[in-house]
Amino acid sequence: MQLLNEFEVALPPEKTWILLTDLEKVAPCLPGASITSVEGDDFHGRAKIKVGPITAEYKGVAQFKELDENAHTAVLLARGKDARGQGDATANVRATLHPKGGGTRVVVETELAITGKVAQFGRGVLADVSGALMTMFAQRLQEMVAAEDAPTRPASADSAADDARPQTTAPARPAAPQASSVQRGRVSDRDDEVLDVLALAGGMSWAKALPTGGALVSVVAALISVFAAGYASARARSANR
Amino acid sequence: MKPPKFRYVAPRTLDEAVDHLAADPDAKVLSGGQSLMPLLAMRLAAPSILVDLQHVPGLDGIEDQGSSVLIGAGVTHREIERSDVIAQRLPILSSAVVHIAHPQIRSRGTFGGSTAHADPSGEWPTVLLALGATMHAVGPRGRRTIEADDFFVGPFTSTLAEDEILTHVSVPTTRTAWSFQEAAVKRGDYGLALVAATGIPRDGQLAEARVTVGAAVGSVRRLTDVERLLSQGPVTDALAQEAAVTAAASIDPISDIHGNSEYRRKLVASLVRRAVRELTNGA
Repeated sequence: MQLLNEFEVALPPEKTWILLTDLEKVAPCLPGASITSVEGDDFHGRAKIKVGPITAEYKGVAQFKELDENAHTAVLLARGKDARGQGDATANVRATLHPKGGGTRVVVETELAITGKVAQFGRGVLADVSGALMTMFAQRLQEMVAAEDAPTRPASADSAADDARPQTTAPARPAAPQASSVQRGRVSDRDDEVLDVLALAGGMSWAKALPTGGALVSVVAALISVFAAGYASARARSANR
Repeated sequence: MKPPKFRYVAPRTLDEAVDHLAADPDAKVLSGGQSLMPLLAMRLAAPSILVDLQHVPGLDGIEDQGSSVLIGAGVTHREIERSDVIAQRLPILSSAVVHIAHPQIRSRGTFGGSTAHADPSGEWPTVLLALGATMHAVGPRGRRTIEADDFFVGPFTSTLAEDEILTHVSVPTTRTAWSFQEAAVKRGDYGLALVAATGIPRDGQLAEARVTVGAAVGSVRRLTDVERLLSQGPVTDALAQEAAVTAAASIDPISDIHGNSEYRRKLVASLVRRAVRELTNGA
């Protein structure tokens, strides 16, 4: 099945690109998800999911098949497997960044295949889960970016709205190591190890996330963790003003 | 399929049940089990311990309290189906209950269990949100009540804490105009779309309308645009048509092998139209 998601970012495509392609940095923003190891081009990760009574733990591998910085196109192949053997999922994700105003529009096309018992369950909910996950993830990243800003530029939050844009587009690369440790601290402080939809979703209209959702999550966790980043940072930025 | 390993307790008091839940964050309440057991069998849920409420006293009964009916969480769907009090005071429940699975399942499954399960395709969440019911819960921090508007927050997700137990639901009987509509491939299947609408007939109009949708949009939620529309005039066919159009425009339905987004949008529109037409019934 195919999924199409879009979101916008207040960062220019160059900065968004840097943020989105830093898998290791971004993955922990999905509570419960983490990159466990990197072997060559393979990113191994896992995600623990909790939706109401449903819990699952997924392990997966993600690999960039294509990283075209000039065209701002990334293709990520991810495979996820449920730790309890409920099913496998494979996703081929193509993300393209398009400049829009001073920001970026990110288009994510996902080709998803799910096999096993999960796929047979009487109800499917994949499209929504991906959409909902993306929204939730964006929230997390928003906080991450906020945390990133805080120690380096304490004045930015209080400064005039006109200043916010130029300041926040300041060097993302150099700040990354420090920011990422700050952000990891925050994430793990708050959310233990499990993605709890209640805690995250709040009043948000979450998808009808059943089983299939779980399978998708492993894959999407890896993927979205990459591609939703910009959206969140955009939100964080506007929140900062 | 066999469920994963879990421990099982069947406490005799509510306090004891709460203690079990408070002692283990992976504990899960079992109340009828008609939704939970399939999840276990599919190994989609893996609680460490099941706290069965079947021997806990005080969770039964359907009590007419005048402006509301207090329904125990342990009351089965079948009891609601057969209750005269419900038939007379809350006929929307009688109308909805027959859509819940099949008689065998209705004989085991409980009102409180389904409500706490907060399945977006669940009949009770859709109906209780439309009625503005009040949930009564007990936990280690004592008793509290939660309005339906604050209770259902996502798929399978309510604001009930992990260590709280839903004991009763207080359902107001003042909303005498009502309609429940469900579209499913077969009777007893999970619905593709559910719509519940209620209101208080007043001077030829409908006051305080509440319209909810389940199943089609991924969670149970109110259609506030439609509610606003209903407050603007007497219930007519034209208003029903307008409500259908408004409903279709205000939702973002899910899409799966059972029905794509556009199909579900049309279903919801049709159900809303039917529901609004029926809202003259309590006048």
